[in-house]
Amino acid sequence: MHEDPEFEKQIRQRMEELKFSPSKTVWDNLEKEITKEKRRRRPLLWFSSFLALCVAGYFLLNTNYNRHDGSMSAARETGATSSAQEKNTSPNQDKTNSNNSNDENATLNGTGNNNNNTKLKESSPTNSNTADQLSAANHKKETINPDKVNMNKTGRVVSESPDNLVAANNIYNQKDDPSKSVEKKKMNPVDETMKNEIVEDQLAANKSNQQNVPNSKASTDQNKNASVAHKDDNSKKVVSTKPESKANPVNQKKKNQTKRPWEFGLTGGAGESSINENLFNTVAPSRLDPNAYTQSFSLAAAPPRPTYNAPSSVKGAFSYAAGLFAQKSFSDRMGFTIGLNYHYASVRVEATTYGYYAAAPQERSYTNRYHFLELPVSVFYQFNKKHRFPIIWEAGATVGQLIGSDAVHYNIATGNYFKDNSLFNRTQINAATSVMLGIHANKHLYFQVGPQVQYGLTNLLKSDANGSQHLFFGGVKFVFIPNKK
Amino acid sequence: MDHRQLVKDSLKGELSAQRELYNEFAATMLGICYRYTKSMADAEDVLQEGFLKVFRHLHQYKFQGELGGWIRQIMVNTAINYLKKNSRYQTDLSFTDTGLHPVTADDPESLLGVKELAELIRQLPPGYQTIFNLHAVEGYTHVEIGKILGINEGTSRSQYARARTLLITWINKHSAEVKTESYARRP
Repeated sequence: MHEDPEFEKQIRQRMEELKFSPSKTVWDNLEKEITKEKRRRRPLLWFSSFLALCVAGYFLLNTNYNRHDGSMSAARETGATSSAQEKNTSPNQDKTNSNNSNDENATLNGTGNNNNNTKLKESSPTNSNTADQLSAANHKKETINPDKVNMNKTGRVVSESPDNLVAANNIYNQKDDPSKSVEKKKMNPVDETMKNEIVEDQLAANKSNQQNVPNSKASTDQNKNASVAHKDDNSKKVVSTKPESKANPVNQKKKNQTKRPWEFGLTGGAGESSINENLFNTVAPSRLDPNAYTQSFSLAAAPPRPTYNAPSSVKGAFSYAAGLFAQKSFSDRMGFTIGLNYHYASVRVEATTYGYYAAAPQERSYTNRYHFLELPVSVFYQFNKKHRFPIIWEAGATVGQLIGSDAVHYNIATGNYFKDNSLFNRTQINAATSVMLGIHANKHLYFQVGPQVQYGLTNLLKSDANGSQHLFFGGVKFVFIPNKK
Repeated sequence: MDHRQLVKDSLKGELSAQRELYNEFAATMLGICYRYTKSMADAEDVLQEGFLKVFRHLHQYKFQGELGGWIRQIMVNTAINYLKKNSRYQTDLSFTDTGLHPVTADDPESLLGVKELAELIRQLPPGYQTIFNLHAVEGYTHVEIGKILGINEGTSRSQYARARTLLITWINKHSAEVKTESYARRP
């Protein structure tokens, strides 16, 4: 059957004239929706601004850390080189060198013979210089170890604990004079042959002085991390203002019987991590032995060693986490989440280096970094059911595995920092909680954002000798659920 | 106030401008919504949802073509989405209980008022009603209708033919009744 164009034309013309006056409620509802829209944009604006600030802050922090780390790395290389060279340096050279350097390596305190300006790592053959060495020798990986003690031709003991000394040198040897390296290249062939015998003698002699030596403590700086977990449910936007009476009862019933499927999403967070003695107090410098500096001097009758690092303060530093999660609701308000996160935490160690020849103490800082893989499990509760901006409280625990760290520990006996990852409790259990605001940016984009705290229930270190050290994280948590039902 | 200024002020978030825009087009748009739905309440729902989209996406209107045409397009799309979402309108597009009737050469619709004609269109089964509106009133081709409704072009074509036939039958019937009544009233 062919269409009659005239028919369609007339229908079209007639229908153009069809007009009805809408009821007043249409505009009223529309006005409400428009106002809501405006309000809805505000949190988005705030969130965008916040994100921009976070990104800017992150880059700023990163820039600062990189600059700092750059200088530290340079120091490490320089320090390592000089320490290797120093053990072969003759007394005369030592003297010359030490006069040129004021804040050399921070290793052993041994103050050799009076005005003999020995450089670090040198100690006199007398017993008076060995207090710190002995205490360190008692410590697993710290300073003195028979295999790690060298003596030069003149009978001076040169200790070298690979981890310990390298770290110490690394951190505090920024001012090495390149010219010294050349001089130090003159090796003493007798050193090697005499080394073992002298070391044994030295240790035997030192034993008698052990009771005077302060207990060796390795103070470590650590940090912590974050976890994360999950999210929740929220209300769906309803544009239509159709009265309830119009709702299809069959649909209502279906809605009530809706299954709650697993939902998957991304989570992340950024903030500051620190090391706490307990939930409310950070590790104070005093915890690292406030008298260490004094003690080290009192142990030696002779003048102090060339350099000494006073116990540092540990300050919070940048931390972030990112991961995936799956969540399932028990009801309209409650559910649980499980996920897998990578968590980076860091703390800033600030130490004061006292150089015997330096005019004034020098402030140095170092960033301890910790990398964790975490398995967060948590339950969540939504306070305002079906609200457009749901408020969700979440609480749970994470099991974390320390997968890497470049953190340094403090040796109170030697006043040095050293690395030893074996001192860490690699498995960490943390408690975490957060309160988040859910935002439906659009039909396919739902996210939550809010403050989060996480506290390490397990001690960061295996040994309790250094007291309680628990990682603490405080920051902002983000959760993103694509295509949220 | 011309449309350009109205749009600019509405984009600034001025409620008075938005209201003026609404007042200017609401009646016409409700007529469109009414043709696609089965009740005035539903039509108003569509109108509200449509205007919300208009205000939300007003920045996309580039002053190319009539503002009324742009809003009309949004209303039609909103109405179709509404029909798709609402189970009351999700009846099968095919039907077999209506036979084809010959189309008279008269101009029966001329005997009907606009609202009466609209009522007849609304009495068509939902599928027919939608296709008829899209093709006869909005001017969409069957290919376009097929894409919009997710059906074959052929299905659209055949259902439109049936809708058209049915509507003409009803119009003729209605016209006959009107004529009979008018003859009966003659002295």
